[in-house]
Amino acid sequence: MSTRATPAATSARVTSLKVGLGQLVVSSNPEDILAALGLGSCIGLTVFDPVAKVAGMVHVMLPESDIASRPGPEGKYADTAIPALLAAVRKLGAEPTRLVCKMAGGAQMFGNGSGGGMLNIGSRNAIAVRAALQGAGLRLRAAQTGGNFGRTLELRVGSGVVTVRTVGGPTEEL
Amino acid sequence: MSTDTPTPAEETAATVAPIELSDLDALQLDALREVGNIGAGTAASSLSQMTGQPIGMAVPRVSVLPVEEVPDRVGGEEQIVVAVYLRVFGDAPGHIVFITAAETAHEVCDQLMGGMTSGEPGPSGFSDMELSALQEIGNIMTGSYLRALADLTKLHMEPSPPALGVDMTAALLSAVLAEVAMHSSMALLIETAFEEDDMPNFGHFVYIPEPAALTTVLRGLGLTA
Repeated sequence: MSTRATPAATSARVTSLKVGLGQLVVSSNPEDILAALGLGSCIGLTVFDPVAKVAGMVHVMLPESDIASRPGPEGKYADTAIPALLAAVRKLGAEPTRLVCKMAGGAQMFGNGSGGGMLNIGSRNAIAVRAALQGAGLRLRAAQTGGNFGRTLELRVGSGVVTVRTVGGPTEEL
Repeated sequence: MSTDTPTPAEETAATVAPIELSDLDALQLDALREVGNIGAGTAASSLSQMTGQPIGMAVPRVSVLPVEEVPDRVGGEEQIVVAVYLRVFGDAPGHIVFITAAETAHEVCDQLMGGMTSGEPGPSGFSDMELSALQEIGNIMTGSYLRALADLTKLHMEPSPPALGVDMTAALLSAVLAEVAMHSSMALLIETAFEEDDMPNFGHFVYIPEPAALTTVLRGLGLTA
């Protein structure tokens, strides 16, 4: 996990923090942008506390931690990623009741071709993230999941604005 | 169970611990690089025959790394690519993906169709006719890669029907990696890049055998661990 709690100095340089596969990144630096590039079957989940201006994102790969023999990074499995994300943003001063949660991803990639229909982990990921949010007492404000296309998800820490970008489509606010 | 002729399945399950990916030695990595070389070489000549253009190949790169780090290694997360995916069943289960940049795929379509109109492009930027041509190319290439691999190792390998995707590299690759991650936290990656004269980064093959299959593949190559 990378934590960016130090406010930027005089220069207002925007830093894009890449949230890679299975990663959990939190920040309270208003210049930061948290970005999950090319979500396919994975889920990008963002949380934002508009009062404390604390933000976090996880890039969930699989629904449950007991699917695989060994653990991975903190954001890899839905069931363990959400509690870990909650703990990480609380550490930066976020209040769970104020958290605005949004998610995107969970697509069925490789929709074309005679072998289309394989790799349907996306919908299971979406279900597992919803269940884990509910388990943590968090409410989902907005979601854009499913379909058969990839998405890039970004969260601006300064404003809490979340955007979703797809290939050939406009950038939409979530 | 008799000790001299166990079937590979019995032996893997009962007596031999699967090879740890991180324990592969230089000789074994070399052998796997050769697998990539022969597989992709066969695929390249199939493609060459279809397009009439000579296709070169770079030396394969073999890496053992955590599943999560594969997109970084392959690179170009948001680059638009055409990917063909095959699941491999049989003695040595695994995954094969052929990835090529969308612009390259357009050029290949033009070469194959020789200026024939192929209908309106869909949301992917390719027409239906182009998509089926690309699927067929991917099918032939991944199929020849797999046949070369099976011949080399004397193993039985059965492909799933090919699946085609046009999207961001990371979106397509991570869907495959999720499958890999269900069985292992590490991935063995055998990448081979293709080059055509005017297209230096033509495309590449990624072959990921499942960890349990690695012992079988290495034994098929005569390198018992």
